[in-house]
Amino acid sequence: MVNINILKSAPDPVEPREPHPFSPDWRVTIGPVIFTGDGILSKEVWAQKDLIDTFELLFKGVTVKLDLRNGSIWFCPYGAEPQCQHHPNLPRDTKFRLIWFRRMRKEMFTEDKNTAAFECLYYGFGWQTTINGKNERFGYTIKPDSQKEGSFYPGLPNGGE
Amino acid sequence: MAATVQLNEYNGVGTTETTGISNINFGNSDTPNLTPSSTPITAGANSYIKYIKFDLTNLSTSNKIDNLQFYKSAGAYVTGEGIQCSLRTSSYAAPSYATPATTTYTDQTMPTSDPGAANWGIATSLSGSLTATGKSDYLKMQLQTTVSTPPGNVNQKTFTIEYDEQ
Repeated sequence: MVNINILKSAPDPVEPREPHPFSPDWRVTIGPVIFTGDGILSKEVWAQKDLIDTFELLFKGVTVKLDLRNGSIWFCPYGAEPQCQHHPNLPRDTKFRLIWFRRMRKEMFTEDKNTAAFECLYYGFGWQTTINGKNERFGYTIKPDSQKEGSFYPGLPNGGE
Repeated sequence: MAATVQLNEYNGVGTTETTGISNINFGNSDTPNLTPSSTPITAGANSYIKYIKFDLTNLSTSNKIDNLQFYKSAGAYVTGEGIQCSLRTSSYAAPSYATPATTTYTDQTMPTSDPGAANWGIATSLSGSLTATGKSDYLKMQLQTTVSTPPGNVNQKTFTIEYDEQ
């Protein structure tokens, strides 16, 4: 079950010990065309990144939808009404760019031989736009939980676009 | 499949490259993959300067690598011990290679927490990225001691390397 209760403290996520502890399924719409995949964007969608209308993350219990036409973010629990978690209420012609990336990390210890691969710490999910010449970002950090789904934490770390 | 990356070290007059290094130990030798006990540093002296690069060897299904970060995440210094480096989150200038020596290097103090932003440049810029196989700028580092540094092993250190994959 995905923890989408972002208003309360979430349990500590399991520290990842695999290169990709989870690869969230996503669905992208560009006009009438729908693309699907998992993890980071496919090269086909990446090439059209600036044309994306909606970006959805598909978890077992919930779908999270980012509408890049207006910057709204919706949480849609399975079998329940969608909940708009955030709407920036900016002018109609505001251009929102998708932020979707994963942060990789490796630790190297002195006095040891370090052969471990980089591991995925979390994904960054949200949007970026420019308001009065200043870059603004909004979104969430998604960390793997014990069931290898995502736990959402408000606040977008530096990275992505 | 994820992008394939590694760290490389550069040594000697001819910028000899050693790919996929397994440690970044400091010592009294311009050699990659050092065993510190074999190359001890005399108290009051410095290690040989180290030059490291982040090397993307296969982009695979990824599209872009950026936001490169490096910091010491664990391991207390002993008396008089410190590390100077080229890492910075602003006013960045890519370091140039010079034959490693033990001459005192003065630049930035090694960060000891997540810098929160890129501090290791690509293509001479902190906002640089890799969209094909290639390498970062050099990361230049030196471990320094004083005459007050006690004999024996220093504490084990943990260095953390992070990047974003899109």
